[in-house]
Amino acid sequence: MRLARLGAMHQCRLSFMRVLLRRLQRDQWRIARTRWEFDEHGVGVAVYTASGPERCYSLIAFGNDLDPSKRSDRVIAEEWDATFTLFDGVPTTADIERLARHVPLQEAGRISATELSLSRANRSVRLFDYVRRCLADGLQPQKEELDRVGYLMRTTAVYGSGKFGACDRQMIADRVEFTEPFQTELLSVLMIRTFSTDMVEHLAAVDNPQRAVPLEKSLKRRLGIGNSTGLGMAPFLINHPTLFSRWIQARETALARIRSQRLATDAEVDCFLDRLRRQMLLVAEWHTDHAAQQSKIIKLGQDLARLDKHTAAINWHQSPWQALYLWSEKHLSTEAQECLVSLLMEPYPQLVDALSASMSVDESDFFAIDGRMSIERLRAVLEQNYAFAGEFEAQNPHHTARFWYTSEEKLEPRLGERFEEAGAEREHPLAVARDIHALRKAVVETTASTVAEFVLAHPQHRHSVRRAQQSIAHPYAEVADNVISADMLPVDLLRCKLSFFGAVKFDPRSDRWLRINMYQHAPLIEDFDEDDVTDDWIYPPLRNGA
Amino acid sequence: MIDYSIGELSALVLKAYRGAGQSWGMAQEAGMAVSRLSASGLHSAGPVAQLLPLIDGCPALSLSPVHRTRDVWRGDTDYLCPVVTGSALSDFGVDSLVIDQPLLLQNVLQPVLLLPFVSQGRDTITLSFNGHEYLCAAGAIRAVQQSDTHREDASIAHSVRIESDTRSLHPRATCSRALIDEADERRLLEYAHRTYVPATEASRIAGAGAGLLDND
Repeated sequence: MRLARLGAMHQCRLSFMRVLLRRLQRDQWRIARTRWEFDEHGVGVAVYTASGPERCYSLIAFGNDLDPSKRSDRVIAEEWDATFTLFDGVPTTADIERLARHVPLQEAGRISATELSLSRANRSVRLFDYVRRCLADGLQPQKEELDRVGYLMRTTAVYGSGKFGACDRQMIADRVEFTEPFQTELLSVLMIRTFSTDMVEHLAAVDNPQRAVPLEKSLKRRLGIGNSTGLGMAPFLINHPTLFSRWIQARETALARIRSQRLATDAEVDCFLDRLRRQMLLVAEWHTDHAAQQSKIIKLGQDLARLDKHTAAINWHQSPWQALYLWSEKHLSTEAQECLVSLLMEPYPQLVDALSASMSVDESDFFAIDGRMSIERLRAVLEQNYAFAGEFEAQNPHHTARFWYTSEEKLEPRLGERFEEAGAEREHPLAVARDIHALRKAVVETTASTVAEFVLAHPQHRHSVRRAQQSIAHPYAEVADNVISADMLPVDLLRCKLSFFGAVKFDPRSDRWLRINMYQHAPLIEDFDEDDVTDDWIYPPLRNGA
Repeated sequence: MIDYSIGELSALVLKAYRGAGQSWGMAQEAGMAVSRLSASGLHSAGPVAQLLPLIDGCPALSLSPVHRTRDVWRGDTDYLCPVVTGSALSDFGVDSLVIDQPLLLQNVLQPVLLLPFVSQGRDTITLSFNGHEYLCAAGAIRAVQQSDTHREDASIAHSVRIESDTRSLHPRATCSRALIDEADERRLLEYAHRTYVPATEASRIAGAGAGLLDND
């Protein structure tokens, strides 16, 4: 799939955040705040414990009195307003004391096999202080002000699987609650959302113990948790081809099932139209200063209105979704086409939701190179699965303009300019189009008859041969574009991954980092048992029904 | 000793192996090898840390089993690298290589690092060198005999024997962590460091795409 299309994706029923909330509600998980010890500056510790049918997990939150001059979303920051870890079970006092020495240090600390995630968050200066003042004065904040930002705190990194000593995903992958990817990270973020509103209420009460009021529930629900994400996340989709293919395959399978429906019932049509109109509200609430994204949002709003109008012409008894989808390919922008794909899934939980279980993979199962494969077969695979590599021109500086590397300073992925900056010899193997292009040339010239002989003589192609063989069983394994070209937009890689998380309101701050909102309008954790499981929370309520 | 997650150690070894001037594809093999060895409860960071200076900057072909007959694999002049050789065993299909007769590998560095490759076969295979003997099958590795002689005996083997075996090997409980020696960690970090690009003022700004307000 081309990068521009991946970068236009939206959340859908298969998004990991929605999968998590469906499971928490279905299996009657309870999340409770079990410890809250903070001083008047917000320094202290809180524990939230999520208890499910078999196991429980605790978010341990450490609050910090951060000097505002040190508040930064960037990975160069060394202090944050709050830091967190997700603990496997219920922590003892000794666990909390140990973690208090490490978690606030983030990358500079060490966590252990009992910790499943490591994260931090900063207050949104724009909104946090405003809400704090309102509550301290005994007033509720204005809805419009809340909607303008959408969250009180913004996470700037959520690390999982084995990072900094944490538990490897492989060790917990057999737990049913972690069937889908990123469930530990998103469970952490869900509880951080609650922490953010608890903290603003705490500080408002500190400011004015007599007059302060809690934030009304309906307003709390309007607040999600922000996230600021940069290049650190960008290589993920390229580094995990078999996993990425599973994600896209689940989405494509869902779409194919829906397109093959011969008719739509009234309830299905009503559901689709409801979500379409609520999606239009979501688009109206989506703000960014990024010029290119602004234009896309305006066009998306116009396209969704056209789509709404066009539904009047659809015969709901004659393959309606296929007709709508084909119409969208001719008349709508890529952003709107992808939005439609997500909306089409809404009326069909029975066709879609179970596919989420196929979105994980044990990557080691596809690691070994099949050395007995013939060179002819490898050539054919390269021909069939890597058409995009045929567009690569090795001599064209535009096509090789960038290189991906790890920065010595922060040990994070970065993007360099090959012909202007030093360090290209330390490039990471993310330039799939270029490397497959080179492999194609080599397999034409080789005298080897099998892959084993070929890679033994040409170890520089080993990583590309592995990818090519993985692509046989994983048709969506590749970002089908040249990710070192001068006009590649890294933010598209980020947007794609974050859409699978279930993020909304993508706000690119440049071509290399962006902000998002997660869990906005989601049920509050204390209300899980009161809400039904319709799973429509991500779409804002229609105004007359709100 | 430092408590590492296996994924974390694997990622470190991937970079360190690349830092020793080897290909990314072979570095991936080294990362996977330590992951499998660690999961089997065997030390993996030490053998890799000791291997790196010996292969540092060497052309891959000089570390490869370029001379291969049905029963003997050997390099041209130098010692065989266990990651390169193990990868080749895996690529050619270790089960079929030893189905009729044992295979001898001559002059192998850190032969314990062959185990994660040999263990990927379907059939049970014995790997022995310098008085050590290991049984491998379907991802599982078990030491059945350890040499009494000094530990250095395991660093180079003039002959490694790989043969099929009829014993059955039941997978043991997987180890979830890797304990690594501080000196080994230091060396791995040194080699991994060679893959990093030092920051400049320009790259600090452009590399991450910042420059906009990020404290609002």
